[in-house]
Amino acid sequence: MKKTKFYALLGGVGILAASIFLIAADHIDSPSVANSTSDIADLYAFEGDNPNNTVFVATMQGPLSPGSVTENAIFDEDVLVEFNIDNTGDFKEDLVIQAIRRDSVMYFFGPSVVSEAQQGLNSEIYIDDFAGQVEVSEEGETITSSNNGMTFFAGPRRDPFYFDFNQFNEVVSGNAAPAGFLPEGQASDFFANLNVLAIVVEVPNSLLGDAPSHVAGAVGINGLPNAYNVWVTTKRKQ
Amino acid sequence: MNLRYIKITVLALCLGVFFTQCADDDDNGNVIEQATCDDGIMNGDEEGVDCGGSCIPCVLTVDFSGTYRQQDIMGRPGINTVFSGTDMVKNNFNASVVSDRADFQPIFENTLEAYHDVYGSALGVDLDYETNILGLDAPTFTTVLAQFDALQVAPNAETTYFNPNTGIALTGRTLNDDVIDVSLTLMFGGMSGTRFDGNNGTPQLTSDGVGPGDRDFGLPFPYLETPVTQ
Amino acid sequence: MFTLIACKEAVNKDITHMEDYNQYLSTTHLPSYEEAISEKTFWSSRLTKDTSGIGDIAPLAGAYEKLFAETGEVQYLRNAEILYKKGISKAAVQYRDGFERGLAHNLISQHRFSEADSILQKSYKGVSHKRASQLMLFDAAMELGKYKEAYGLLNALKDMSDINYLIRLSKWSDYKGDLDSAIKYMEMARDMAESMDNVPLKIWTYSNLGDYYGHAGRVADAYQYYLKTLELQPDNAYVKKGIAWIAYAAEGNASEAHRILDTLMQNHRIPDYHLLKAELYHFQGDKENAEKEEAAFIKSVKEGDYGAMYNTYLIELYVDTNPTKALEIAKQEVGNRATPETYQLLALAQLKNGMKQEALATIQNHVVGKTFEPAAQFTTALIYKANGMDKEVKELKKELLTASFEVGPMKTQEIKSL
Repeated sequence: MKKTKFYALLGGVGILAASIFLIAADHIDSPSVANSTSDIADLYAFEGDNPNNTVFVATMQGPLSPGSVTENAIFDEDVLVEFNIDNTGDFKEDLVIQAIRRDSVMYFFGPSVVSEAQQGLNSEIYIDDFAGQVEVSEEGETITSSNNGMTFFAGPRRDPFYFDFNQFNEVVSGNAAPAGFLPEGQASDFFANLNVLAIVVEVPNSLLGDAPSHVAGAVGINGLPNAYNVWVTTKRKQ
Repeated sequence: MNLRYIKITVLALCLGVFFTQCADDDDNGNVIEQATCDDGIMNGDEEGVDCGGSCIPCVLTVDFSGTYRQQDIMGRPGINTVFSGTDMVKNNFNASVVSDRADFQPIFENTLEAYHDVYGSALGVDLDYETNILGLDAPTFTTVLAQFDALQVAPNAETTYFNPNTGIALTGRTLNDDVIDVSLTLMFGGMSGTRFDGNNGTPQLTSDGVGPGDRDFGLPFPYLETPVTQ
Repeated sequence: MFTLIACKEAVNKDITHMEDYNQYLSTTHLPSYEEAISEKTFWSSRLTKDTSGIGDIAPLAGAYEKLFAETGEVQYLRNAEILYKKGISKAAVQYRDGFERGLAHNLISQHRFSEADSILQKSYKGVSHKRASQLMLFDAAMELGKYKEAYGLLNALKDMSDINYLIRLSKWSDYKGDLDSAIKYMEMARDMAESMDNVPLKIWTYSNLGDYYGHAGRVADAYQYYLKTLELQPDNAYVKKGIAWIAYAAEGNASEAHRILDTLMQNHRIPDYHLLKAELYHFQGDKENAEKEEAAFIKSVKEGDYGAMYNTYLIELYVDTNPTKALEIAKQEVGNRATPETYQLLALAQLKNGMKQEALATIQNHVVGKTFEPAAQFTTALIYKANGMDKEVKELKKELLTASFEVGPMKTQEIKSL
């Protein structure tokens, strides 16, 4: 139940079809609707190996089959990826970490303080808050870099997400009734051998401010530790 | 490679030839005696051509101008895909901000019930959502999903999407977390969490039956495995 | 050499240089083809015969579409069609429209435009990504000659920051005969593709711009854009054919055009090349080989199970040798899609069957003022001439002579003798 992944998957057909159809060439077909380079596959946020740090991971453009499709996958230079952090509990971003590719380098900015006027659907890049940069890794590489306590990575990775998507489709279409999903052993993880483009940034918690009380309290679930509210957005240059 | 770059390279080569004759044992290639920030060469403590080190930061030589408009947004896994139901709602969701999603709650509640209906009609029985293991009824559960759609990330606690052993929940999302099973349990598990778990003649709706398999989630930064190759 | 005059009057002698593109004429270095094969192998290995894995069906269909593009083997297109249909039957409602759009795209490639249109209409009304469906509805409407609908869709889609829209706006401008705007919007799309650094879209916009520049008589620019395409995709057959056309039409160098086509035909078996080779032989005064190639074209269309995909070419070929058959196919094609381009072929077939008044009526009702394609204008001129409308012929002749690169030396000769 990964977000948008399957729209990207089907949209991916469009990207493939963007190659030109040569036949009966009294016209060239239009490429199918191409937008999947901004599709987010997944968001992860967890405590780093250094427990004073939080790691943010965004995966995109999946699923990529191994080989040349993975080798040829690149981050869109017009797509800004943002990790949004709400540290007051109002579900509006107070801090943002931005990432965008230029040539072979992924540039990172932030965590930047977002004023009320800057919150919302449109963004500009916080150039003054340049945080670091890392060479985008190619298929066989793992290039990382660090700056001011933050650590960066961008490039293709094995998709960490696991899910029997094909059976999910059978379940929600009613085809799988009455059994439902398949038992362990018969079920099959659609993503097991697929790749994805990933952006990873590890940030000292000291840069993120204090966390507000956990939102679960609002619906009567008490006792959970203070927690930021975190989401990822992609924004396209206008 | 643009023309300017070629010119600079040619210039650098020429200067290199010229200076090697008078540079004695300079084997680091840094043959310009006084590096400046406008000599068109990466030298001195520069990190790029005339930038970095004691020159202006290289990042300032790159164009980051412009306004960027939201295309996609994600907090918790699967919310929009699973609950929006139609692509139109999905697109609206993707063009909305987290704090302004009250309109989506009734849609999500409908979809939640529709999933039960699809299954019920396939089985020839009436099925409805039942208050889940967290004690959330359908309106409350879908309010949480629609209006608080963010990952809660606790800086000072163990990270888990849900750990049934400790009862700790919603402190982030690790690579290993089985977010699908957690979500299915909250949708179809009822009060016990096992309402439709495939046992006792029930359909298996609370787990998709797959785990991480042979993935290695114990790696150092960047934590994700290298891509699968052919 | 009967065609010496044409040779001498070639638009420009010095545009192509074989050292620019020889490296791309390799018949063994086929990266796009190999990528498509490896995708096909990967996804089909995950799909056993009885599985219902829609997640695997979609990319496998995409791989077959790619294979079709790379080889011209129509069977690949049919395989993709079967897969899309399987996907539609298996997919839960929220995943269905992706397959429906894929099928529509596939059917458009097969020139089954009405089917594509009705699938899209249905999909649009159901659970679907509305904008994506509308973009493709526009494509289908243009193919079917439903220009009013197309214009309505274009207005509904307006967004100058969306490359999908710009491409269609460009297509619309071209249809309206406003080539300058068509080029302007395609250049904007190119800038956007470059700004994204999106390779498939760069390839797409470069090759289309190459064609547009050619239409505008900017042959050197066309050549540069074909080369830019090859830098990104060395085995792009479409633009290599474009370079062959420049060698022939702009430089009068038929033997170089033959050489390029011969390398293409080894891996990319589409009938089109035979037709172009036939024209080259005619140009060289080699009637025997020209007729051989025409026969080879007809044979490969027949054997290839292409459906209606080559109807327009067949009409043009048959008008002189078998006018009755040409008329029959032209009527079919007008039924398939009622555009000015198909009507002009119907009119041409009518003319060649001695029905000059019917031909004139067809032209006046369905072609004049509705298209600016040189082929349609040439047919119009022929029909005017047959009907003794000399003043109108003269005007058209003047205009047609400005398109001498686009129509090629053979047609240019015919235009001159109007």
